[in-house]
Amino acid sequence: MGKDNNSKIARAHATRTVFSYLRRYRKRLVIGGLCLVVTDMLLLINPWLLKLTIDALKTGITRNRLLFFALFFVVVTIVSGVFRFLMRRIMIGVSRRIEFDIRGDFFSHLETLNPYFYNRHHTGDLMALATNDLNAVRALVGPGVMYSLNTVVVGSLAIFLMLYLSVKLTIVSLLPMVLLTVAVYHSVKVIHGLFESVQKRFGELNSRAQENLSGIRVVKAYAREQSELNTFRITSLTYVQENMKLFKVQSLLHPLLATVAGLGALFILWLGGREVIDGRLTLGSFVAFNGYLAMMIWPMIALGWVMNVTQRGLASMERINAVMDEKPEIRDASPEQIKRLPPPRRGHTISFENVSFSYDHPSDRKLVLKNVSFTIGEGETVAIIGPTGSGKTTLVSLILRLIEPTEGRILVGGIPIQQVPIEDLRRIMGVVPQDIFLFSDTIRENMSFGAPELSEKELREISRGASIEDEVEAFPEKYDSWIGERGINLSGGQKQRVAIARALAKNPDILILDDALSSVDTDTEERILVSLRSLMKERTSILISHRISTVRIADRILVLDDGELVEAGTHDELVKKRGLYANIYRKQLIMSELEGG
Amino acid sequence: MRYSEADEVQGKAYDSALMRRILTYLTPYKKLVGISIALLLLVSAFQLAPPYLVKLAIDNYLDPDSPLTMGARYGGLFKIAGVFVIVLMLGFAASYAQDYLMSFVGQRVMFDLRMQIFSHLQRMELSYFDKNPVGRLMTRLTSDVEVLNETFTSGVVAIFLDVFTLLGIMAVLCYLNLRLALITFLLLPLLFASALVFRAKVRKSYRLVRKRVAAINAFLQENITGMPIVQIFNRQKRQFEKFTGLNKKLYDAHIQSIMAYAVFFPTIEILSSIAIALILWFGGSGVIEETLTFGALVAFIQYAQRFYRPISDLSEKYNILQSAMASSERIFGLLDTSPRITDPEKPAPIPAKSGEVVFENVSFSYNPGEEVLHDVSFRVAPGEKVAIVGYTGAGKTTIINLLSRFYDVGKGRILIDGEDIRNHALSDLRGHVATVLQDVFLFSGDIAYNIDLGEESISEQKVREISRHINAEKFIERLPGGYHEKVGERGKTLSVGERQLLSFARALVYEPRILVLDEATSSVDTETEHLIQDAMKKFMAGRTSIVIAHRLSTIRYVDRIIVLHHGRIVEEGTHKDLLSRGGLYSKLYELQYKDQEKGIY
Repeated sequence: MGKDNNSKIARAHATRTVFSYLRRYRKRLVIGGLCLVVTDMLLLINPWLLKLTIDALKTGITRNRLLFFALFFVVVTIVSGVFRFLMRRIMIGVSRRIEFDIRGDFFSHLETLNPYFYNRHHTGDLMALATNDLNAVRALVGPGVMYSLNTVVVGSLAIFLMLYLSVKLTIVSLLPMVLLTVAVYHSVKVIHGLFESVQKRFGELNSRAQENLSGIRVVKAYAREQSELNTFRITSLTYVQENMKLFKVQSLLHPLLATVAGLGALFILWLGGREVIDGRLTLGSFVAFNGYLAMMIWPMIALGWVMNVTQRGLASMERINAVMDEKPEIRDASPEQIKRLPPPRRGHTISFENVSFSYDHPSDRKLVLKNVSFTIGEGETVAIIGPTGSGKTTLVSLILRLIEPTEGRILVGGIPIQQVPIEDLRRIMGVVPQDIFLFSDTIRENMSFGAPELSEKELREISRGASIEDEVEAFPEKYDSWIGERGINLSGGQKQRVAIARALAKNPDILILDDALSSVDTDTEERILVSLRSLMKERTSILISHRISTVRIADRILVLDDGELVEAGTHDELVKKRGLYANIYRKQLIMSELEGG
Repeated sequence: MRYSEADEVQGKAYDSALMRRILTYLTPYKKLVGISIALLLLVSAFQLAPPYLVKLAIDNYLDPDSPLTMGARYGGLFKIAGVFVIVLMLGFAASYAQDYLMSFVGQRVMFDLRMQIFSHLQRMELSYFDKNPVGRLMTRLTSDVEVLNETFTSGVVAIFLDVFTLLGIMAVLCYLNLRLALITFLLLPLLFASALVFRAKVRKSYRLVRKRVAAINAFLQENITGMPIVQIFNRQKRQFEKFTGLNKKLYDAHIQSIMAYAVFFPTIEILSSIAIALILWFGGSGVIEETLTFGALVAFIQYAQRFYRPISDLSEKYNILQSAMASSERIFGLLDTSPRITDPEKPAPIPAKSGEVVFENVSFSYNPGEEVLHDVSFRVAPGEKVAIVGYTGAGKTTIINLLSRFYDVGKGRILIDGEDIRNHALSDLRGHVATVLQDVFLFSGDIAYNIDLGEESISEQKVREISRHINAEKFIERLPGGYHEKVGERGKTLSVGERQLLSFARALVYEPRILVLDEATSSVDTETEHLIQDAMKKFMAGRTSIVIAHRLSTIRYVDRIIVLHHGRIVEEGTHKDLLSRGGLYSKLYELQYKDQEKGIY
């Protein structure tokens, strides 16, 4: 019961949303609707003209009058054509406009949501909302609205005229028309259901093939090609069979519509014909009646279709609403609690006070960080080292407030970061994330991502700072070079340096490099570190790496292991300690020896 | 905005050679296609009948000036209504049968084509898959095949209906009144011309819409994935502006296509109203002069209204055929790439026993000029256990790839029991040499399926025996469904250690003579570690084994260790020998294995 109620509320909410978008274009819709009414009224004149012509031919007519009828026929069609054009342009145009609005609202809402949300929703699902579901809503507010209005107008006008010609004939010939609507409504519904199960089978076929192709090594290693082929054959056949179930119904639709419409014509021929023979109906009226009935066919078919479009459109609107109603979990504090950061001197201090963190997996409440405390002073450069999975990147996400600590608190410039406006907090930070994400755009656009007003001179300066200037200058289009999809045209090391430049461009008070030099060779690393050093002096910096060669330049090194802070000190101090750091150091010495050949 | 256009359906010109090749897929269904076309003839005849029946009724029985008696007129009308009913029924049956039949043929052709592509892919060598990402191959197998299906069901065959209908109408009109028919046909060129113009316009705007939809979706997808970056850099406003720019462009493209449609429909209506006006004027005069009957006039008007449908449909079919060209070209491109690693013409039989492996001066490169193995020679005696160790990039995995012929050697040769492996059938070779890969790939299906991989000759009894033997049965029986427990998406439900045990079982059920194993590097808990070590020993016992070792226990257990560095063999010997030598091996030992001694990972 409760569930039923919920779905009713959701449906009502969806309906309200659809109407609120329609209301924005009230004026245009009214004009479009008027054009529709005029078009339909004009179109109804023509069968009447035919009636007049034919009846006149029977009783005697002058050639001039005949010519007048013929010309009038064309003029009426031309005028109605103009209005029909306007109707389509306005009403379908509005639906595209609404599509534009919803897509924009959807994107700007997504921009407010946090990693928590994105952990719960796959990109693919969100894309489906912005494509399939949006299309369904569009079909509702466009053709859906237009055709239902059309059905009402044509229907009532034509029925009125038909009644005038013959009450009995009207009733008899309209029966099949109602059948038409019912038939379309139900078959479209059944077809949609069957179509979904076809889609499901298609999904199976897809994943079968995908799995085979991804696991092709195993398939080949065990010479399983033949049995794979057999399995694929079965999946493929099932898909074909499901499709044939669909076609059994779908192939019925068109013949059914043609036949039902034909039934209407048959009734008119039989019953109308009798009235003509009896002299109660003129031949002209008989022809006109046929004309009006023909005009009714499409609106009645459309009506059945519109009923489905409405249901699907509302269901899609519900799904979109579900995302639009999500509130961001990480928000600015209330206005009275908000505190501004003090102006920076040489960067800001950063303090972790007993911070613990666990991702909120119900099955796995493993602590990724355990009671971590440290302070980084203004202008200090601190390196963090530790094995994979020791919690280094989580630490960065916490400072950026992408996630919130489970316990403890974090302070920047002496203020708990929850109280700092998120925009301010992120403005002072220059981050090079571990997972380099560049946008499919030019180098310039990517470098100035956080500082859009960057001048040409500044652009060159930060490139020099990131040791990528020479390489960019060597590209044919220099800073306007297209980096390809996610930076596919760049090497791993180049991508990392573009990301460093992107962080430097913000002229941040706090610079955070999360494993930012892993893809460059040791010589380049050396070069970058030298040029970064002068930049790091003026601000607070955090260097995260698993390479000793990177972290040794820091003022202080923190060693993380399994979420715990296990060692801290300068490089020399830590080497003497013979702990985890010393072990990593020793191994890396061997590695570089092995790499050397 | 630039975006990936690699798989975009391009406006290929019509290519008759390609079309002929597409049509060969219909050959097995010649009869059905023939019946379908015959049915189409009936369908169009039944569609054309009603206006003519109305004409007959008007002229013979409805005309107030009819000389017949009332009874005869009723009777005549009744007969015509009867014929009408029959026409409707037959029309319904014929058109349903035709539609269903053609859908069936389309589905069968798709099935054939899909099987052909899939089985072709099974024969391709691994390097083909290195070059062609799974996504691209999937597109061939799914959307490209669907596009071709559309060509059959709503393209090729449906063209007949349009042509029949068009010709039928023209014939009937000529029969009714030649002069009036010719006058009506005056409008035909105009109808054709406007349909052509419209088609070109719609195609252009449709492409534009597609392109812009792709651009905005690419942007959206990228920004959803990169949302943390957008937020960290406070870029929300700017990204929204960019999005709005793309959104606006898409909107404009839509409006363009609305314009095309909004102009087209009224144009067609105006043209057909001119045709009707001509009929009214000339036909009306004919009625006055008594050269044309009333019924014929009415029939003329009704037929004229049916002219434009087949004409505008025909132009749409042309579009479908064009996109079929692009898809079929891609599919045939795939089918025409022949596999490079194939069975020899006369495969040599694999000897039943023994299991000696010899690498003789083997060199190999994945990309020309970048050799990863240089002149590697070694021999593994039957039943001997050899470990291969080396630093990253030494070429260890390549040895596995070559031995099971995932790739063919560049120079030199590989011999099993004295026979070059290229002289054996691939399936024999791979049945003889069991390869266990580091990344255990699990198929969706149950546990038993993942062990026997669907080989029916392997009994469940045997699957159980072997699982027990290598310590896998315990965890399998703990699963709710036991051996018939479904393995979730890529085996997420199983732990790393469990997956490894499963992969041992998988290799063992085939009773191979030679084992090639890439040991997993990932750490597991001590208990599982113990189980794996024990299983490894049982696994290798009595078989020629080549292991890329990552475990201390393995390198201690094997008979001999081969140390590979930068694609060359640099040291060889037992663990103790090599360690005492103090060469490269001792460094590797320090780096990769020593910590395991203390239990630190």
